[in-house]
Amino acid sequence: MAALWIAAFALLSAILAHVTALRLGMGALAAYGASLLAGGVVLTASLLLLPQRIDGGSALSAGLLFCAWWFTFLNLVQSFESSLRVNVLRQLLRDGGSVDHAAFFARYNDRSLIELRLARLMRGGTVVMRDGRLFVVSTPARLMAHLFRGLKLLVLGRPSEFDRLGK
Amino acid sequence: MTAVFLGTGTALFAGLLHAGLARWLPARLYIRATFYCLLAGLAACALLAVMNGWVLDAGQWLLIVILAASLVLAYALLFVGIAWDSPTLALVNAILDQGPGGMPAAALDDFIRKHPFVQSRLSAMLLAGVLADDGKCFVVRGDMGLAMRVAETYRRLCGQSDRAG
Repeated sequence: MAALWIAAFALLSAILAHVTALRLGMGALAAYGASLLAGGVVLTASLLLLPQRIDGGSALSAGLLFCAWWFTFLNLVQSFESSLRVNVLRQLLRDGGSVDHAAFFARYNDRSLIELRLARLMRGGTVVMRDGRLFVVSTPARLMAHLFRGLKLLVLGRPSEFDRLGK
Repeated sequence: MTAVFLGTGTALFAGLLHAGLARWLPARLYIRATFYCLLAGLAACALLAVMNGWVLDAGQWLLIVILAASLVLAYALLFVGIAWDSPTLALVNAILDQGPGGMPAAALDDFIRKHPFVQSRLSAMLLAGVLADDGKCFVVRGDMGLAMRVAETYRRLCGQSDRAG
């Protein structure tokens, strides 16, 4: 049971570090890094400094639990920031919980969504425009794009969710 | 150490089972199926323990269940990124597909036409019951409010702006 408490304490530290990092004006990526680092340090320190003896199995459990929980935390926070579904729900709740079809499609359309994402990519230096053409200049972005396309092909047998629509 | 191996093994079994079945599942069942695969994994784990005569106390079983559930939850979140395209990564892939010459900015129209993200996400929310369509309006299910309030509180705590999506 010690593993559960140690992992929970490490996750709490990681969340506090994430809030603090963003409050101090750090970028999103740096804040995630600070969060993971803080959680990892607290986890290691707890395993080493706890007065009761922690066996290898408990230490491994604590590490695995912390990794799984931190990954869940990362995904949830990232979805608050950039998920279209979460953004739609947030806006609808602000508007009283419902919106008519015309107003919905006026607010949410593929063009504004893609232009927002492209603007973010260009602002972050992942994509640049030269002579009216777009180029990906970030190696991590290339790797992520290739990784997820590979996983889609491996697990679902198609490179994109829109392939099943025949488009 | 037995509990760690059983918990990790259960999650691995559930993940592999789900990944193996995913291409034959309708999209609306993707996430629900991870839960059923977890249950199948836990049943296999219990069977393995009984067949080998491993005696585990309640604390060890609790650790197995929490460890397996946590790892399967992490897998389910990763699977969301596999099943539904990220607009950002889809755009990066579309640009990379054009080769070293890059993508003409005018080709963005074609990309947008072939990637109806808004309709895809709207359909997913309607299918999941998160939104209801009464014929004139889209209505949010009542119990989503609490989850969104938690998300909003966290964003405010972090000093984040409202610009998202």
